[in-house]
Amino acid sequence: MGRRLSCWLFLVIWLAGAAEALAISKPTENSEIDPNLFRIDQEKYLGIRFGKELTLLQEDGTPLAFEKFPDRPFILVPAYYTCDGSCFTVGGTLRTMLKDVKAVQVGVDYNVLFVSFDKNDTVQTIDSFSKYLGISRERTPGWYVTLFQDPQAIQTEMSKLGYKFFWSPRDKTFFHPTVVIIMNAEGRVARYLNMMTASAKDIELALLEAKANQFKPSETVDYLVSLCYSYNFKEGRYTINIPVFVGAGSFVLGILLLLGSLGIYRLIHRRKNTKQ
Amino acid sequence: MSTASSGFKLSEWIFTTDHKRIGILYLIGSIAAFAVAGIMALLIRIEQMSPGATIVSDVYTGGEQYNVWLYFHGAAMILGFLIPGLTGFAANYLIPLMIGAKDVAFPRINALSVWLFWAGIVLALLTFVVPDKPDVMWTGYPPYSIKTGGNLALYVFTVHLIGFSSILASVNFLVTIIYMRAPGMGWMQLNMFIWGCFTALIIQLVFVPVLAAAVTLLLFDRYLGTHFYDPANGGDVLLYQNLFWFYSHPAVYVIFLPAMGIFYEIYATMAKNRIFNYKAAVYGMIGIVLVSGEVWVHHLYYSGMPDWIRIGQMVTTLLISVPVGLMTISLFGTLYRGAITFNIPMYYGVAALYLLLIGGLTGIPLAMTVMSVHLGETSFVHAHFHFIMGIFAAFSVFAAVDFWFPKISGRMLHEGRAKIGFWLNFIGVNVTFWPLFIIGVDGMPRRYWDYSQFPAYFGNYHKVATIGAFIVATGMIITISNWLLSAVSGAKASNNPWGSKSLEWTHTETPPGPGNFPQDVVLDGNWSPYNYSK
Repeated sequence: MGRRLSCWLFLVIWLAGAAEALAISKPTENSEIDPNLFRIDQEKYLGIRFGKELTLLQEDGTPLAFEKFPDRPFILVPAYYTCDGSCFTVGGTLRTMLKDVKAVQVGVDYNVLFVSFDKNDTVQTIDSFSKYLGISRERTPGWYVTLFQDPQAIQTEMSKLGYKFFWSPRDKTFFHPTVVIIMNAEGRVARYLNMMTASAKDIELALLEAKANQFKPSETVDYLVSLCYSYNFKEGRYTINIPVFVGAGSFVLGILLLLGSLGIYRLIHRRKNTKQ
Repeated sequence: MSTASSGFKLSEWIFTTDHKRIGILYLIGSIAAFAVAGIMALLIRIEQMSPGATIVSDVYTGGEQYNVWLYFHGAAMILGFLIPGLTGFAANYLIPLMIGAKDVAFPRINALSVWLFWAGIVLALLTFVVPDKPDVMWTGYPPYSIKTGGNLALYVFTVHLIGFSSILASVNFLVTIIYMRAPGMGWMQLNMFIWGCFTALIIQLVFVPVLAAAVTLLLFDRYLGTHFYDPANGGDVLLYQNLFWFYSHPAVYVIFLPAMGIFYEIYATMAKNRIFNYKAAVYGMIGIVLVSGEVWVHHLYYSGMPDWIRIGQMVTTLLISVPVGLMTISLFGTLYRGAITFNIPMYYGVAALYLLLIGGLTGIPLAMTVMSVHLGETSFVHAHFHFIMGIFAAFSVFAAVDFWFPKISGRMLHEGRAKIGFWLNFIGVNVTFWPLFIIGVDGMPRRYWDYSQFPAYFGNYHKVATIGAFIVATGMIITISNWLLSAVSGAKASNNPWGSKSLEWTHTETPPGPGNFPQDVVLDGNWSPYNYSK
């Protein structure tokens, strides 16, 4: 009897332990974040103007009125400076990638603007973030790391761009998309690029597109090359625009048809004359 | 095969490689397309007689029915009537005769092109049989064309057949003009109609493949699930519009240049005068070819594009008025101190100058970006392109048939009936399109079947326009039936009833027999088709 009871007890304990073990190994449903929550419905937000009357704070605490921001396209990078993961990755990747962007030059043709969506960020956190990325006003002209002067404006301005983020107390981190936003000189959204898939070429194309109205004669070739690509909303990057090549090929075909038919006629005619 | 063979044998017409018969087959096909497209125009006008549903079955599906009428009217008028009427009928019949050639360079290819054209017409007519009628205008813009329930394949294959036919015809005539001119015939001795065709066919040959490619990708998007024009998947929806107009704006000159050529022939012959400033007119035609490929963007001013492209295209669009101006001055100047005979081809010729003036002047504000944004999608542009492209070119086809009728049929056209037809056509056109200019400026949008949300007085103008359309329809019926009646019972025509100096009148029989010319044509450097002063 005692033995049988011991066996039963062992079985119950084993099952309870196994059940607990299973419960631990299976992630709780709350920790699963559906990436679609952060998806930006880009078509709704293209052309939206950002920060018309906004004032940002720079690393030294000086205000930067958005209307006085240089009149050129810029890459807007939403981030928070105490981030221990993706913000540094995005910033670092961007630093590396922009070295490969040759058609346009940072600080001359465009700027890079980091803005924090964390109301707890301060000029001190800006400083540490900038140092980590190697950004400084003297060494990297055109790069700005800023935060909102009025933290109340964060939610409004980021929502305008369709940029969603939230704080997870359990994970002690912000969940947010890893996109950079290409803005034109007026401060309107030109493109969103997913930094997980985008390449230096994508950034270059988006910047050329954003500055299409201001391009210089020396950039004509770059602009023409940019016409060979089209933006893929689904993938958040540029892909080859096949119909351009099909169209151009057909145009060449038309010219070849004319030249070819002239050649064929001459050949036939020459053969006839030789026979005669 | 001869045009003048005894009796009618169907097989002779089906298997013919004679350019004159092929020209007549083109004429029959294009007039058939014109007739059905004309009926569609009447349906469109009846629907617009009053705001709300007039003849469409109900307000929910009315738009679809109206779109089908618009589709057929636009596609058949441009692809089925105007282009084949000029570069099919007139070019086929006249080019070898005017340059002293016995036939075209590739007669079998010529036969293939006419039957491809006919297949295209039949396919277009299937619109009225299939349950899912195409409703994509003649433009086929995505994303609508990809998402609509209408039959896109019918549209695309019609474009393919007619496009392929046009390419073959272009190859044939260009080679013919370059290599088969009579000995002694230099480039500056060519008829203006030949220059008109030569320049138009270059445009056609170079640009048609682009349209064919653009619509093929449309077909893939619709039926094979590709995403060439789907922005959500990396496609570019505006690119279709660019490719479409890259062909379709130059297509305006494919129609305009031979049409001008026809009027030059009529003016010179009926005024017994040389072409005024012949070389300037020829350079004007060549100038149009050079500029024609750089103006298409003015159809897309309201699409997203950099300002510098808009301004550049505005400049090139306005620039095209320079060669057109040269040609118009030359045409008008040909009448100067001429001994003008006012017969029916000349009636159409003078009307054409008026249409050119109104259509040309109303095109200037449309070329300007600022004005075009307001006017571009209104009935103003609708009236403009009907004047300059539709009616001007249609009148050129009628003028061509009337002018060369004695040569083609061997009989004279009944002048009285032709004049009644002309006046009804001319008055009807003005009654139809002037009201559309007026309400277009006031904001009447194009392509709307129901305009009840717009000012009520628009309805009065639409009523007048509809009355005008019926006057035109009556004029067209009289004109076309006069051709048929005169071909059977008209007075016998002499070889050169107009006293022309051009080869098709001076060196051929009426109608021309096999091989066109009884003797080989050899010309000297002094010969000109417009040598009236000697």
